[in-house]
Amino acid sequence: MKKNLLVTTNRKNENSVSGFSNETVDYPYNKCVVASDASKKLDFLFLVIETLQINATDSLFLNAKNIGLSNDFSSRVQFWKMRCSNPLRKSYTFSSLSSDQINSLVELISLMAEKLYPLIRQLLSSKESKTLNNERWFLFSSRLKSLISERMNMQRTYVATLLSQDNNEFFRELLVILSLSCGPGGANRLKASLYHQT
Amino acid sequence: MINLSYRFDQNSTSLELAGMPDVSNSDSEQTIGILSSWSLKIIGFPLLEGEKEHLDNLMHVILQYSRSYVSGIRKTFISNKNIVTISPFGTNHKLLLNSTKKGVKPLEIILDDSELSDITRCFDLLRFDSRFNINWKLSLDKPYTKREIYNNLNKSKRNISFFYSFIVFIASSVLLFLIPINDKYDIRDIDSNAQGPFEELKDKF
Repeated sequence: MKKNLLVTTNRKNENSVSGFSNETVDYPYNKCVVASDASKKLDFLFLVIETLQINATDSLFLNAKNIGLSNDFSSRVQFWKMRCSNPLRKSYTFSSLSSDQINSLVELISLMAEKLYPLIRQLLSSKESKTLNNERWFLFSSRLKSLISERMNMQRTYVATLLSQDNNEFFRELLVILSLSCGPGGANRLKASLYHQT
Repeated sequence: MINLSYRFDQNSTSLELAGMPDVSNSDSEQTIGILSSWSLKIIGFPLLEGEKEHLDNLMHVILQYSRSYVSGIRKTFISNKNIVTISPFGTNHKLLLNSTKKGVKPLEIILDDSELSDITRCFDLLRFDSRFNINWKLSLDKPYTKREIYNNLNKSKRNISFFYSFIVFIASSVLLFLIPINDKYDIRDIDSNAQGPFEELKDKF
C-alpha cells in the first residue's frame, strides 16, 4: 500500500512539473495555415484508397454518412468538386479546401485506412516472399498509374514523372502515410501534416 | 488488490500492460491507474520490458518519429537520458534501446515500415484507451513550420532544386548574351557650321 501511495504521489508531481499534456487534447490550429500541398496529398490518398478497394467511393459515402459528416461528403458531385482542388487534376477548379472540409476528409481517410490496413501492411512488409511482394506491387502500381493517367493533367511534368518512374517511391510514401493515419491518433498525425505553423 | 492486465495486438506486435486501479484517484475496478509492468513483443526480436519511464520514452520517441514520417521528414529522435533512439536506416528504421542497468549491451532492432506502423498503432490504442487512467508524457501532434520541413528535406532533393535553378540561370544568361545589340555608334564632333534640315528654309523666310 505504501508503494502504491508513493507511485501515486510521484505521478501527481510528474503531472504538475511536466510540460507535456495529454494527447486527447487537440492542438490549436487557429495559428496555422493550410499547407500548399494539402489538397494534392488528400486527393492522392483517396486515389490510393480507390486503388486498394474497387468501388471505394460507395464505401466512402456510406462511411461518411455513418460518422455523421454533412451531405457534401455523400454527394458524388460535391465530393468530386472538393477533390478538384488538387492543382494536378485535369479539371482543376482553382479552389482551396476549408479547415472544416480538411477535418472531415482526414476523418474519412483515417477510417478507410483502418479498414484497409491489412492490405496496406501486406504491401509495406519486407518479411514476406519477394516474388509475391513484387506481384502485389505490380498490380497496385499499375492500377494506381491508370487512375492517375485517367484523372490527372498529363501535361504536368510532375504527373508524367510519376507515371514514368519504376521505383514507386511516391506510391510507397502514400501507403506509409495511410498506414500511420489509422484511428484517432493517426487522424491527428495526418491533420498536423496538412498544416504549417506560422 | 485487483490485478488487471490488458493486451493490444497488431499483426507483428503485441503490447501487454499490467497494473491496478488507483483507489486514491477514484478509479473504477476495470481501470489501470498504477502501472506495475509492461512488455512489448515484436515478432523476430527479443521481448522488451521495463518501468513506466521506459515505456514513456519509447512511446514518445516512436510517436514523434511517426508524426515526422507522415510529413515526409526522416530524422533521428532521442529520448531523455538517451534510453531510446530511433533513426532512419536505409528504407527501414533503427531502434536502439539502452539499458539503465550497467553492463548490459544496447539492443538494436531494425524495423520495416509495416512493423513501425504496427507499433505506432499499438501505442495509439493504448493512449486513447479509457481503461487506463495514466498520464503519458507525450507531446501533441503539432504542425511543422515551413523552415523545419525545408531543413529536413532529403539532401539530394535540395541539391536537385539548386542544380535546376543553376541550369535555368545559365540558360537565361546565354540567351541574353545572344541577343544582338547595336554597339557600332558613330561618334562625331558637333560642327558649329553644320546645317540642320531646316536651315535652307530659314533663309527663304
